[in-house]
Amino acid sequence: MRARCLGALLCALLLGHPDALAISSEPAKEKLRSMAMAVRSLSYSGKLVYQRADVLANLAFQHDVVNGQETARLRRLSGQPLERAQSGDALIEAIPGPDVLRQGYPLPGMINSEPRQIFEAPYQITLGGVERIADRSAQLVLVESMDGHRHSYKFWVDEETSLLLRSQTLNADNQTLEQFEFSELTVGPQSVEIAGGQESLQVKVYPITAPDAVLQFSPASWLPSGYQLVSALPSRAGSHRVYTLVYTDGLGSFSIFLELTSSRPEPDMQAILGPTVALGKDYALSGGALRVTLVGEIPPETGKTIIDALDVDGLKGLLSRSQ
Amino acid sequence: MTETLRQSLSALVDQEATEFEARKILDATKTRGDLKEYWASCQAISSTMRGESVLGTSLLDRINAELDGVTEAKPIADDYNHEVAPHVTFLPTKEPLPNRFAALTGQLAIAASIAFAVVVGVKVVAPVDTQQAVAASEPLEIIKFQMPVQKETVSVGGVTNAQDAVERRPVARILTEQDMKQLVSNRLSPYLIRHAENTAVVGGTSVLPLARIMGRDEPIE
Repeated sequence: MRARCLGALLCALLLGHPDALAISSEPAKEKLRSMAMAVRSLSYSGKLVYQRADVLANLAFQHDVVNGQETARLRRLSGQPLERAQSGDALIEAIPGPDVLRQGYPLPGMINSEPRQIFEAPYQITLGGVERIADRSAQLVLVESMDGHRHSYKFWVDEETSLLLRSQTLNADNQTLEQFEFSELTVGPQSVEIAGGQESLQVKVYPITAPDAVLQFSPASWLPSGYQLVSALPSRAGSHRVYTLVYTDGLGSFSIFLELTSSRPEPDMQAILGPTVALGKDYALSGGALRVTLVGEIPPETGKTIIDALDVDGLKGLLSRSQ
Repeated sequence: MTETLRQSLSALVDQEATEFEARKILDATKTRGDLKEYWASCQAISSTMRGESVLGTSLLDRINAELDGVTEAKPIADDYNHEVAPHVTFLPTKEPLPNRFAALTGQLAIAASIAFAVVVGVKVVAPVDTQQAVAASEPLEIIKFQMPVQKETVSVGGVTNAQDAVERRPVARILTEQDMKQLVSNRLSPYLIRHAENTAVVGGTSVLPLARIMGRDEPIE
């Protein structure tokens, strides 16, 4: 009788906490740890293909670590040249055009130096087989969502260097929402000139700004478990203030943009691009609107649930005071 | 350094600064070492983008060179032939300052005249915004929008409570599918880009966040 009761209790606990069912393999978790370290600590470069729905992009990527500082560049190889890079405390965008250098809007920096690891989110992490990617041997790591509030992932990790060679993002029906794969990879410091010197460039620098203080508030009465607020920044866009909140569970992330606008409320809107959902909702105010925009790599239903759970009155008051 | 000062410096680099802005920068350089550092970092960043070495041109020299038109052909970095420049080096910026102020103001006036002549005589090139409005910033990078399942939420808007129902004004015109796509695109595209940038910051130097907004519109069979 006691054993039966204990069994029932255990079942109830397991059913009540879906992530408790997630049994991750330690070698798989170790593989992910190694991968996370390798992609940031090694110098490497290569060419890759990114694909999402009917979007296909050929890109060149270069990652360097110089005096402990990372620099990453990504350049589009087809169509109009476009390059984006991250170097130190700035994100950089370069497009062909008259040689100008401008400062862009500030981007929110990390408010937590040690963000939550993916192992605390409800994912089940297991090892798959070994496959050949970019002429290298790669170990497949399966990261499966154990609730409906995040996507699943497949990572092919280089056996020699632990670099990520291929990645797939999958929905609950196991359909591939996006993927990228290196076709060439060179490990070690490179002197690849990604942006050729033959063209003039319009360069825009977006400073990454860590806020001095972050307003401690929860924008919604419900947020999916495992996501942690990692950056927040009040900034100005034209004449009005935009408050940006960024949440991540270590793999997926979503941003909530809050702003008071003097324009007329617009209808609710939604866009889905591969793994990314974008939702816009305006709440009418006297003489304007509270504009809420949620964008993230989360299932659309989860995004809608977050939007519906927003504390609209609280946000109106908060933004009105800080305006 | 204040945001305004950064923007003024940016504008000066592009020869779009007003005389007031130029004066302000010159005054600030006398007392603010961080302005010089910012200038050096701007140079370093642009040089990094080109894979070129970073030169040690001082701020004032650079301003004067811009006004003299010396660097017109290569204002961001000067050494195109430098083959390999894998690392950024921040060189010290050291400059004598005030004695060229009078000359500079004269040059500014000339530069302003030339700029005006160019605008009148040729055509206006759309400038790059310094502080970009979120709702009207980037061109559309995205090709596919899935319209809401209930299309009426696009044309009218989903009203969630009685108070909002009273406050919200309905859109009194019939929208075509193309209109709706454009509406959705205008409204959400800038935020998609901002989110990708946010994720790039949060995710370190991962490939994916920025790859998402660099996709070309090439259909896959």
